[in-house]
Amino acid sequence: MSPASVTITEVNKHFGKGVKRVDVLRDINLNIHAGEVLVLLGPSGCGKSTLLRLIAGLDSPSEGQVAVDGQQVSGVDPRCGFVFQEPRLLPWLSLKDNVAIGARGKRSEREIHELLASVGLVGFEKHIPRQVSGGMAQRTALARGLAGHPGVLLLDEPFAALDALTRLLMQDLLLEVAGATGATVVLVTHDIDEALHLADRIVVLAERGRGIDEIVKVNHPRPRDRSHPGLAPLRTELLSKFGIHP
Amino acid sequence: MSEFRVEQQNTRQQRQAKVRKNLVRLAIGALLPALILVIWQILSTNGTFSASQLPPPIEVLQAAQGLVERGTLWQHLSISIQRVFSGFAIGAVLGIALGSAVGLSKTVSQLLLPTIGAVRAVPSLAWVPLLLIWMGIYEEPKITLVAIGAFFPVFTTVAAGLAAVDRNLIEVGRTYGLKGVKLITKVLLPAASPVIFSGLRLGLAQAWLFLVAAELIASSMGLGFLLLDSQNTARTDILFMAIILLALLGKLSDVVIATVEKRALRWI
Repeated sequence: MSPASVTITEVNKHFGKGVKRVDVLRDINLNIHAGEVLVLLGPSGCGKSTLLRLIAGLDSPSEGQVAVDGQQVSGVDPRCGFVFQEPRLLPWLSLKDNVAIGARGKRSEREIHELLASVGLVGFEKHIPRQVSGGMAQRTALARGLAGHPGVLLLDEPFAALDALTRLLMQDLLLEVAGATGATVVLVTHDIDEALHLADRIVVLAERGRGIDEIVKVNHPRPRDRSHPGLAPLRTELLSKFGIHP
Repeated sequence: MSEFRVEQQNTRQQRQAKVRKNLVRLAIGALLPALILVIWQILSTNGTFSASQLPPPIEVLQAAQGLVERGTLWQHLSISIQRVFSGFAIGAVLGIALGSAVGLSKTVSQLLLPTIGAVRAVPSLAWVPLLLIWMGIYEEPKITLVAIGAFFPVFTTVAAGLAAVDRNLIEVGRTYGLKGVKLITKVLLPAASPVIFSGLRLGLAQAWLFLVAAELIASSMGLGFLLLDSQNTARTDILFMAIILLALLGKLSDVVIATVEKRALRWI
């Protein structure tokens, strides 16, 4: 599938009822362009993961609409691939079979092989999750997310649990493999540097239930130099939004 | 990439070390039975017990030999094994089926659990008179009793195991389009399989228990009958033999399931 756009219109989401009601998202309007890398940034509990789950169809909005390529999302959407914070591989299946689950039967054995190769896992096809490192497991999860030819790849803090070095490698790997498939990428993170390195646009969510605070464009060509001085003002701006004044 | 952790190939040395380790384990496991045999031999020959209370080990062996020569030992053994096997198979299949329904559906759980809980509270032997009236005195009531015995542990563990499957894994299945039967066979059952296997092993142990109960009460063949018959004819040697055979068969059948379990659960 070619890259898909995502349109979020007047979306509200609350959990619970009565006094227990928690408004997680309020008045969210957002257009995600086909093929762009959009990063959702915000403090923990701001609803960014919830927004991601709404796009995937794992949850449904209390009010408003989410559409992928102009078509409304209802129920789990086959046009989306999802990478969770933890690898969430099925522990009894080999890495190859885990990726095959993501392919929904649409990929040949050879294509799954190539996908695993693209995330650097040649020779590990028959290993089971417990035999590989956390980084390798998360790369498998990335391959699984891409296996179904998604128009949108959704990632929920996918590198948060990895060590610093692996995280940097994974960020570049993500741009590489997602770029190759051309899928639109929507990534949730609370890591400002990650956002600056990956995003075409950064959507900053305000605290829980307050909606979108600001959308920041990152007009830097890729591949980006992580220490590029041009990114510094943006970093300072974003940090100050979270109450950190360097 | 430095993070690759390659599983090492089994070299010949490692295999030899494994064989040695298994032999040592076997030897340690055999230690206590050997000690018991020695003490048994001493107590049965030094006048502490009479031969009718505790026959020496060799007499038990001779009793077995006698039954083999008359051709009846195999009959008793095979009928008991057959009963346990059929009863366990029926009980386990029903336990997995109903346990799955209860573990997967809240509605079914609310509907069935109170009733099944009450049926379960009935002491096993209370069923015997009813089963005899309903089914006669041949194989059916015995197999049914064994099935009842095997059913409950399997049912309980399967239901609990399925209800406790990691929500995150279920969500993965849903995310990639698995639902209904496919979600059950591809995610839920494999995820619950460790618990299901322990349920099957408990069920099997309980099946042997109920077999003896069934055979003690109404039968003319089988190990349970042999126990009762040897008591009535004061053949303590045969009695001991029957008990030892039950221990061996119970252990052996558990080893069979444990072997299957080990192969199926390699991923753990």
